[in-house]
Amino acid sequence: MIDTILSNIALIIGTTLMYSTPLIYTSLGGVLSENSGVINIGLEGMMIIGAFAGAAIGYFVGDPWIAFIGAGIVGGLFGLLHAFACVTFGANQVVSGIAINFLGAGIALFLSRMLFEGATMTKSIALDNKMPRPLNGVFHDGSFLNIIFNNQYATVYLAFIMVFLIWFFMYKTKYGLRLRSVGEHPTAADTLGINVIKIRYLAVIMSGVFSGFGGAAMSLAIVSNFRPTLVSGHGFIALAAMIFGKWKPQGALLACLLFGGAQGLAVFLGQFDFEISSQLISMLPYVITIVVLIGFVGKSAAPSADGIPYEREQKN
Amino acid sequence: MFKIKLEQKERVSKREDIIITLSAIGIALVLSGIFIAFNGVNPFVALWKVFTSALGSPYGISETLVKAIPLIFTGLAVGIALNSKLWNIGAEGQLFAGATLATAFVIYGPVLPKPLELTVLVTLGAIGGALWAAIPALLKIKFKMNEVISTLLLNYVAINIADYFLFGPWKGKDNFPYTPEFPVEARFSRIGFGRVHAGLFLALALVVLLYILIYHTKTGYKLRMTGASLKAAKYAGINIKKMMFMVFLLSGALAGLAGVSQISGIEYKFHQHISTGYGYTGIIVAWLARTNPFIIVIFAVFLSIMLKGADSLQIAMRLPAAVGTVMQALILFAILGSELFKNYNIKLIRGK
Repeated sequence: MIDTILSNIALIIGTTLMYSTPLIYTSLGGVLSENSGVINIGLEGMMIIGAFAGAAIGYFVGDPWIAFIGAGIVGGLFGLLHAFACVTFGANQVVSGIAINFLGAGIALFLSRMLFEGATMTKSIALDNKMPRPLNGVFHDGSFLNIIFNNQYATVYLAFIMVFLIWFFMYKTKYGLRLRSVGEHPTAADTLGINVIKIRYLAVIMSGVFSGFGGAAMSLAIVSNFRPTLVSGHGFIALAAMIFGKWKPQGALLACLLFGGAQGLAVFLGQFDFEISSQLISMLPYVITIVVLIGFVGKSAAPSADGIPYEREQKN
Repeated sequence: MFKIKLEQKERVSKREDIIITLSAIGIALVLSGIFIAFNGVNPFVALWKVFTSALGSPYGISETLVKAIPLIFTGLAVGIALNSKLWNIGAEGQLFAGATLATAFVIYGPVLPKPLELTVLVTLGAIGGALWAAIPALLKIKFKMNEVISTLLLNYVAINIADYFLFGPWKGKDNFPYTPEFPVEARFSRIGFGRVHAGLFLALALVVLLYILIYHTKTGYKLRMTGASLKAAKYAGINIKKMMFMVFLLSGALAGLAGVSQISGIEYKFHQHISTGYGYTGIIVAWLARTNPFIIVIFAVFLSIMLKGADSLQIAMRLPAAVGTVMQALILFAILGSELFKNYNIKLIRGK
């Protein structure tokens, strides 16, 4: 009896880790972009193109790490586009994000049909070419730790390392301080000789890289291919996680674990023969995200200059 | 070395505005052409195909109009909210909410005489969309939750609820996720031009009504004032919360009508694919049209030409229909870029 409960708890922890991972990468991307002062609702589109790039490169090249990095680079290119529109052109950041989402979904689907003989799904990556599972077979078969960690892919551990690195970068380095100052008070930062434009560019490009990683963490680990419904809204959930986490990497991590837990719970419940339909279960993550946000949104503070294009004063 | 200097413009003239917008669309088409050329298809032939398939025959024109109808509704929905600077990115979900509620009446309600039945369906569609939009409105007013994120997430919830009915109680006889065909009473009449249906008249009537509302009534004035400056609106004694709530309800109702128009006008049943992203394309329509209802019609038709054209590219040139989605993104980017030219004079100056 206790054994069953324990193994169920382990199973829920395991699925939580698994489903949180793509959200963690993507919300880190959101943290970087928005702390520099650029709203990024294009996270979804960047995640979609990352998931596609990961699956396609993984299929053709065979090495999961090359695929993962490739997904980051492709995501970064989309980030560059968002930066170009929002920073250089001072465009409306919400609309640019929407355009990125159209572009990500469109190009992913387009290339999928071109490269995979008209199919909207990419071909599955061979099992050996998926992300490695570092702790596979390390713990005793059927033990608590084994159930949690046996099937976790390397992307899961890497996500936690990334959270630490971004936290360290943002709060313990002078570059992180610059990033935050650009998001809080660009005019003052500019006066101090900080290149606002350059920092925003780098931050938004990196937000694309991380979203690309997030997408690839789905298509190279959780499943082994890309399909149009794979990402469906996870970029937006990651965005919500960043808000819930008060624009901080450590906060975003906790929020992602919570939202990932909701998904893990949905998957866990799905294995039983409930009378609840799977469609109702699969809307749980979105509902929980909204409900959780209700209590916190008013209190959390976005960076002061988030969403405001920066225009340098004319110097005559 | 040349340096680019930006000078803020006082205001942009109408003529300049139109020229810049048209050039931006032209650039978007060129970019689309480059994208198409990458796939070994002659871009000129492809773009020609887009326009001829959409406008070159009565059949093409009628099919283009068929796609324009839901886009007018969703464009109006997003546009009315944009008038008061509210982002309704949830038109897709509201479309499904409206269609779900109207379908529920077709399935569980009595079959009424046609005019009555259609009145009920249209009303329920509007109510369904409005109720779904009331959620983000309340979240914004009561809890200060940004409507962009809530409307986006609610889209997935609405579609999942629709799926629940389609895979559950409303499942077709052969176990496929679509409802039985609607009775004749629940179908909009066709107007004698291909599949174009009476929903078009409803859409156009709403265009006129909304134009009057926005530009010729006190409420419309308050609406635009709220959009122009929250502070000024507050100072003028406008109840902003109430205004936001009403705008959201109206916006959702319009999007819900797009749903009814699809199920009663075209599909004659409810299924997962009644919308090919009309709620999202409506954002582009509204953004391009700058919220003026009449201009919304023009851009709804323009985007439906793109969508219809992309469909035929798939059939004629074996290009994936996703090229339509890519084109929409390129149009958005081009228009976004063109804003710079509307707001600033751009000068090249010699020097370092």
